[in-house]
Amino acid sequence: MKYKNFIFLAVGIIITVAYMLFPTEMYESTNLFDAAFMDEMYNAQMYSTIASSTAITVWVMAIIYYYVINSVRFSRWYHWLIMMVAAVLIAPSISFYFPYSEFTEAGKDYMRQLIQFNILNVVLTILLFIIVSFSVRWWSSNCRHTPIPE
Amino acid sequence: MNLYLFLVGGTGSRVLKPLLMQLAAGVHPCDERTGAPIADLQIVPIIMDPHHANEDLKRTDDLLRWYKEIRKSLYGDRTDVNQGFFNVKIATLADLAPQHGLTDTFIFNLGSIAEKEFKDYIAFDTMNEQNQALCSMLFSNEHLNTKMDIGFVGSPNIGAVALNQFKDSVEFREFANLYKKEDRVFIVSSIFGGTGAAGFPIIVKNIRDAANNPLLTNRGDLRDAKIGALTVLPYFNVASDEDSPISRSDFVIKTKSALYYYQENLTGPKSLSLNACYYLGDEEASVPYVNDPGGDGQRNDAHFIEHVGALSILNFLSLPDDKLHTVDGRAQNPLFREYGLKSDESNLNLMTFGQQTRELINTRMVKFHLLYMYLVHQFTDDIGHGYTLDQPELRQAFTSTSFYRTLTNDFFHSYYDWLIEMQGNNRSFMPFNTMTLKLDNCINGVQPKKGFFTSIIDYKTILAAMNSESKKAQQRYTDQQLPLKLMDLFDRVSDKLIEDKFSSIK
Repeated sequence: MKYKNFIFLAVGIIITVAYMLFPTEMYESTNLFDAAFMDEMYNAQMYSTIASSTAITVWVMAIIYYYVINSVRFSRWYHWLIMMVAAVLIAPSISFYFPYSEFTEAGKDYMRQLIQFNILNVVLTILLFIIVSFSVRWWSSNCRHTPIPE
Repeated sequence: MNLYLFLVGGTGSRVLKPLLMQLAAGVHPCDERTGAPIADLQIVPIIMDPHHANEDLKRTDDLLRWYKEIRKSLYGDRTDVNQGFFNVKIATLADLAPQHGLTDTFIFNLGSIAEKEFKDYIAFDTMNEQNQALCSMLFSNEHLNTKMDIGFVGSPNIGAVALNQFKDSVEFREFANLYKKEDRVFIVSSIFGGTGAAGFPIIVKNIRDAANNPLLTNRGDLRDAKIGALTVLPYFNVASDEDSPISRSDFVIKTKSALYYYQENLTGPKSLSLNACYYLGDEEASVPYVNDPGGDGQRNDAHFIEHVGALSILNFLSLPDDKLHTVDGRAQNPLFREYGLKSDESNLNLMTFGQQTRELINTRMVKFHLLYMYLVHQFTDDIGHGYTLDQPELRQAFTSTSFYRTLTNDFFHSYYDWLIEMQGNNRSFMPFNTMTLKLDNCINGVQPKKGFFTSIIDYKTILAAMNSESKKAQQRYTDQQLPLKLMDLFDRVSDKLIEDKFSSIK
């Protein structure tokens, strides 16, 4: 049982670190964006900034839920969903704000691309929140069976 | 150690009920010198009452069976359990010697008495004229015509004759053969009635005279047995009824007569038959009980005195062996004890007890009440959340098991009735607020600690504590130990809850 929990934690850490170390490869492999947009993002080192902020947001939200709040009054699946929605609002907001201000300062208009990019980030945040939840929840006293029982 | 607990007459059954409540709550007697729990304790109740239709007896018998069933689900046949709810094992004589074919019951078989009128029992009609005349002097017509299936209706002179068959019974022989040197005997009876006042001296006499009984194999140990007794003095009132042979005004006279007899034959320097004797009574009369000699079932409300009476059994068990020394059937330095409350009040609660009693039972009784409140009012809502999802899982099907149903439907129902009855009696004992569903005001006389950073105690507090304890208990319980998981987790967490919220209870 203990080993299984640590394996889940290790998998969560590995996926997060991989996401933070290789954001360019990950985003560009989707082929969803124009080459010019991807070049601008790469040149401004936006991929790593966005990946780091998304990963940190997700981990912080999960840890707050499982270990700071950690309450029987907030341990149902819909409480967990609230935390995920909060992460989804915060992380893509950051991933929108940084490139948007960078491009606006440079007088470039990539609004349509940025919206697409943020839709992708919403999906990534959801996936990462699920992965991180399953990585860290096992040691929570009140929420270890949230969102679904072990 | 086995404690053979003889419960004689109606009072015997009524004292056993609070003892079962205390044992269910997890009260475990500890050696008064070392403080160590009495190891391998097993209590063998033997109810002696020919009045089998007595409602109090029936209720106690039910409670015994439920206790036994619940305890078996938790610990099987183990006797080495010293803590937790229902930790003390209760057994019948048949459990101790299953190969001997005894009936598996806590009730002593007095069938040959119960079926007859007293005059038939003594074969009055076959006596010669002189003996009939003598019997007529000793026993009134009412006595002679008493059908003994309702007991001895407050007449110990009938009981003393009828219960003499005790020494020849299969049960007594079985008890005598099973008795070991380290075991103890305790007898609970009232002094102001019929069955108890008559039965108590007969039991003691037959144990101390065991050396002269050729039917017994274990005569030496039995003669020098460690014997304790609770003699309950008048404490309840009965409604006056001119047609009834039972009257409150007779209680004191009967008590005095019996005390004189006991002094001569049991407790005084001539006999020294008892190692420890506990006297208990109350001058404050109870709410009058229906004056029912037995014909209508004799169901009386539980009384605080019975609760205190049960403590004498725990006290006797806590005495070290060297205080209960017997030589040639004579107790050396016998102990005599009474009981006093911290203050003389009519409305009592857990805080009315003296320090020693508070330390012995208060925490455990509060734990049991919290368990009762939680299982009855909350547990089913918690299924599917938190600790119930840890392995082994407590699913909805658990509430259909015989363990859960016996505990919540039967035992707790009886527990609630017991609280209500004691509450309505005089003196009124109200340890818990039976009108509330909330935990923060469920203990009378004790307010839970509150503070700026301290939350009130509620069912969520219990769930959180259970979750936390269950996290530490990975792989502590097997799939077959679901009842133990629930009860053991609750037992562990309630210690801390009481310490945090109700620490003044001790």
